[in-house]
Amino acid sequence: MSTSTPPAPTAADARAARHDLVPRRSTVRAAEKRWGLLLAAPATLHTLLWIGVPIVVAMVLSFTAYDIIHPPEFAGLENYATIFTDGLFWRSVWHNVLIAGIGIPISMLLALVFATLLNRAIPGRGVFRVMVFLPHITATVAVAMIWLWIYNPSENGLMNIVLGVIGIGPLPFLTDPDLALGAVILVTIWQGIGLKMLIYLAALQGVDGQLYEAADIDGANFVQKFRRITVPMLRPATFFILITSLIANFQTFDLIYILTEGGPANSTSVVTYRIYQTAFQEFRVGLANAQSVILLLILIVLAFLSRRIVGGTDGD
Amino acid sequence: MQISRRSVLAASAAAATGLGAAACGAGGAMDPEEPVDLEVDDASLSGAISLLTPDFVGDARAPLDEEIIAPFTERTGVSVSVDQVDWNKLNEKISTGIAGGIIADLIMTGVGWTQPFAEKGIFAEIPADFIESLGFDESVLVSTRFEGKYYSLPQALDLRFLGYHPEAFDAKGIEEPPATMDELAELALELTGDGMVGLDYLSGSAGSARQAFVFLLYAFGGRMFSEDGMAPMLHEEPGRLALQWMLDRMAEGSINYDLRAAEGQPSPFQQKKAAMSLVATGNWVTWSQMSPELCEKEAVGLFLMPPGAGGDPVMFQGGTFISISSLSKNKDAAGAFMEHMLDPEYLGIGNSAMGKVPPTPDIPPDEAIESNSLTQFGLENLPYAGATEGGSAAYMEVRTNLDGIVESCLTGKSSVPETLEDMKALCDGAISRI
Repeated sequence: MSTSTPPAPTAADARAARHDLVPRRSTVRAAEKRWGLLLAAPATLHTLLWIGVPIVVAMVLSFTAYDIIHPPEFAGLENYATIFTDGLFWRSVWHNVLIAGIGIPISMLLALVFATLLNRAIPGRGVFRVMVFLPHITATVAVAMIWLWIYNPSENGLMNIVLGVIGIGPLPFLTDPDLALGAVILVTIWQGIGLKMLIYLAALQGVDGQLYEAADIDGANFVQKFRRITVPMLRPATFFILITSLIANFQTFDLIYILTEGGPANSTSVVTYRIYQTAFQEFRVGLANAQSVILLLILIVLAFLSRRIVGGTDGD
Repeated sequence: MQISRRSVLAASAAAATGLGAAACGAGGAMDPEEPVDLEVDDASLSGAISLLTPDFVGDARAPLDEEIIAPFTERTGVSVSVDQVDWNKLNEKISTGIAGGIIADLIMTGVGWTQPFAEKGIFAEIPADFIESLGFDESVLVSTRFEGKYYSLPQALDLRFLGYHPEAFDAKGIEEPPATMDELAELALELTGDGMVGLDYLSGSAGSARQAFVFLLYAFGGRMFSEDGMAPMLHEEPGRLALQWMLDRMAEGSINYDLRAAEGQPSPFQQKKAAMSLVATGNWVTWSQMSPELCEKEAVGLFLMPPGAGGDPVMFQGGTFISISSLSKNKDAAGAFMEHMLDPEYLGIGNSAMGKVPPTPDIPPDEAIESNSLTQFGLENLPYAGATEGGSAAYMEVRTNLDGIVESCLTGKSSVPETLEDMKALCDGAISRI
């Protein structure tokens, strides 16, 4: 009599059995992919339609001579050649660089100081936080109007009243080309501290308190803890603030438009104001688009450099 | 998803074509070539038209709606909608309106704007026989022409000249206003001191450094462009003299570049911190509200800018000019409303409401206009209103950048020769793009 034993199940059998019990991974992935695409579609469409298309159109128009009134005509690289010989455009870029180079580090430093102070349990902390944040949420038009009064060159201006007490002035802050840009930078610092402080404050509250306790046990003082724990832990926040501040700086328009209109003698003209002038006052829309493309490239380079310098959000 | 080069190019072309089509299609069913017919009788008019204006702000809006537009609508059945925009936004409003195909039927702009928009085909030609029938002085029609044809008409003028405080003159024993630019310089210096500047030339009423320069340019016998508008002339000798005159006065201290009033505050002249000042007819409204003592009889002495190179004195002419859009779908009604606004009765109402100067003295008696010393002085001297901006189809591009160039000179950032060179380069570049 012979006996037979059933053959041992093969790997293929096992897969078949699993198939009966649970859905295949590929099926799950396909379903997830479909849902993912569906959920991402509105944002993607929005981005493509309102950001992607205008960027492409701007790039196309940057190669044309277009005055809004007549149809665009292909102009090759003429607009880009014009930009490279347009001293006022590069002067405007330089003003942005100065505003960013001086204004952003100072406002970041002050924001960090304020955030550190206001992260402690001090009386009236909420009020101080609001006071520091208020300039950020105030309309730039209102901010500019207030600073127009502060900078008034007569003895009625607040700044000149204060300077008058120590025997200085009155100074023509917004009519002297040597003072005007500095005056604008001061406003950007004042206006920019609030949001930066808020981000730093949130980041500070995310720092593990045990790190400070451990440092205390090791005998670290306040400065050592700040340098060795706080600053490194705030690196992702610092990167975020730096990038958004740089972009915001190169997008500054309303403040200049109201405060100085780029003057005196173009001493406060910035890139966006120059683009506005080119497009809407000179009707050179093709050239304005080429200037916008150059601005985009500048921002990409700055973002790349910032990432290299600060280290980005890796390891966050 | 991979994006191919072909798909990017296709999308670009589609988008650019769409934008181009939008720009080209601004006219829709309208016919830019259709001439303006001002002979159409009221019964044949219908529909609606729109008016784009930087004027009739604040309290002046009600007279526009109730005393100018309402009688027109009642007479013709044509409704008029008003789109009001600030002067400094007017340029972009017109250009974006054209691109979007929503340009107004009637457009009010400033001196120097006519030629650029006429050259671009935005303004329709206005029949010359109608304009000649109005009997306006030639000085107010100079800025309305392009290549010998009329494209706009003055609706309100803003004239500029010089004013002085008689008591400041009396204190120094000065009996007559200056008759030459040298005399003006001497007086300005003599009146400077004791906390008072001799001549407030660059704050407020000057409008801008650009307009201050243009006024002096004409006083020294110059002009901005050649007759055909195709060659700049502002960089020539009169331009040099104009810049140097301002710089010399600033060096002496009789003109102070930094003398400014805060927003909403009285001007240095109103505050008697300046003995003489550039004065605009539009100042009357501010004076009557903030410094009514200046509106009393003979409270302020007035004189025209004296000639710098012999000849006649000069008055600066700014103002609001009305044009018919060549893209209007209802040109007949637009033409009829333009005629209506230029009727002496409605010119009086409009200018009285705005504190501006009607382009002709032939208007019905109006107390507000008759009691306005600045307007009266302007009307009496209308033939001298020869200092005007513009004169070239390239002027809108020049206008934007000229301020910065003049300011650079006045603030010592560039020398007079460099400034004149920059002016020429700016104009040449803009003219080459016409």
